[in-house]
Amino acid sequence: MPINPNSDYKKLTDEELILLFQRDDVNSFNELVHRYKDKIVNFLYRYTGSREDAEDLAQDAFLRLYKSKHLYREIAKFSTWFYTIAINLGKTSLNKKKKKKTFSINNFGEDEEKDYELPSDVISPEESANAASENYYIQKAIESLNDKFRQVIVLRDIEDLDYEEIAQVTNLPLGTVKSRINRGRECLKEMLAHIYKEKNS
Amino acid sequence: MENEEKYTDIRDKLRSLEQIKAGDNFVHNLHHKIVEMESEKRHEHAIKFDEGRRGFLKNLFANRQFPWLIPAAGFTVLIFFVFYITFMNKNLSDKNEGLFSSDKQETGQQNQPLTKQEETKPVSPSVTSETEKPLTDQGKVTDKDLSGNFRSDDKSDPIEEKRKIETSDIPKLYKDDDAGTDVEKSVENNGMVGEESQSSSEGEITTGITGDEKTDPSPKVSEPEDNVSRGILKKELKKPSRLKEKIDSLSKIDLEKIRKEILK
Repeated sequence: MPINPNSDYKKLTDEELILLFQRDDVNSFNELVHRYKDKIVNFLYRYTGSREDAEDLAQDAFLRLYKSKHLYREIAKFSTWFYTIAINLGKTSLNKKKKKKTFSINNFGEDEEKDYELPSDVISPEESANAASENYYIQKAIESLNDKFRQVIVLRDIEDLDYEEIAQVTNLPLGTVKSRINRGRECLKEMLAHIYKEKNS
Repeated sequence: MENEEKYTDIRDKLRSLEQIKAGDNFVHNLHHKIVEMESEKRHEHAIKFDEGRRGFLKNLFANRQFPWLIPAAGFTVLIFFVFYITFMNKNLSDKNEGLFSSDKQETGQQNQPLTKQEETKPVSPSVTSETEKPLTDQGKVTDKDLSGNFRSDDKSDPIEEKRKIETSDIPKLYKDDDAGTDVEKSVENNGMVGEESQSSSEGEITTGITGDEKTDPSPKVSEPEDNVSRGILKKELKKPSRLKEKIDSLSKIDLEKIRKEILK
């Protein structure tokens, strides 16, 4: 099964491509992979915090798309449907990781109001190499956010999805999405201010 | 929109983050994964297809998850066969018994007159030959009757036939003694005293008189013959009274004399 996107397929929309793929047109799948591979890897990296995991999860997402192509309906945008697959895989991966590595403050009490978590003390070589850059701190701040804020922040401010799409992907009401985005931004601002203060001092 | 403006600095920072791109091997790895998945799918399909082709018994017993099914199924089949055989035999034996009993009843009904005939055989073979005679004569009578008014059914009632045979036997015994006293003795034996026995003895008397009419005890006799027989009967009814008188008149002394003469 060679993956060589045909030039004709580039003119088609995502929805048209998935409909073609539902008719066993493999070239349309190749075109979809070509269009979404970077977006999904970037989204999953920002969401999970690990490049390797992001690539694996992105491949799993495309595999799901390949297996479950018949489940797509034209009522939703393809991007929404595919991000839903990706975010579900990301959530599953994070939950598995959390059980192994991270230590959550929320576990001490039953207070679920805590908006962000402290990362574990284990620092990977990749982290230490990138510690100097600003991106590293921002990424650490995003990872420290509570999961429910992190996913909406990433979808809105990094992947640039609109509120309605985010509401569909996360299966949340529009108002909840908006409020979560605002609260997530507020948290990020506080965290980054704290990081910069420490860095400056 | 106010919130968007409020957090513009954060938004700008997030948007300025480096875009992570998929690795060079991403598509190749994805291709490899898809091929693996499809081969697994084919393998599963082939296994399912093979399982379907293996047949019921192989699917049942080749499955290692339920090894206890083998002895259990064998035992169940054995019990089924045992019950089947026993019930089948029971039904067959019941049927046979039913048939045997019905045959027995039928044969018993048919053999009753025959056995009586057989019983009479050793007594006097000559009598049997004579007994057959009236039976054959009966056929003649019926032939005669065909020309006349009477017609006797061959398929007569077995009870009637039985009675005919019994009654036909009686005069034969007296035939051995004397043909002349045959009628008288038969009349005596049948009890000529009562009038009730007249009707019953009518046939027997007639049988005693003529060979042709002997086996026709039925009242279905043609009228001229009936009148003749009635006349004879009337005459004979008078005779026994004379005989009786003679017998009564014989004294014991006379009887002893006769006895002594016989002894000499």
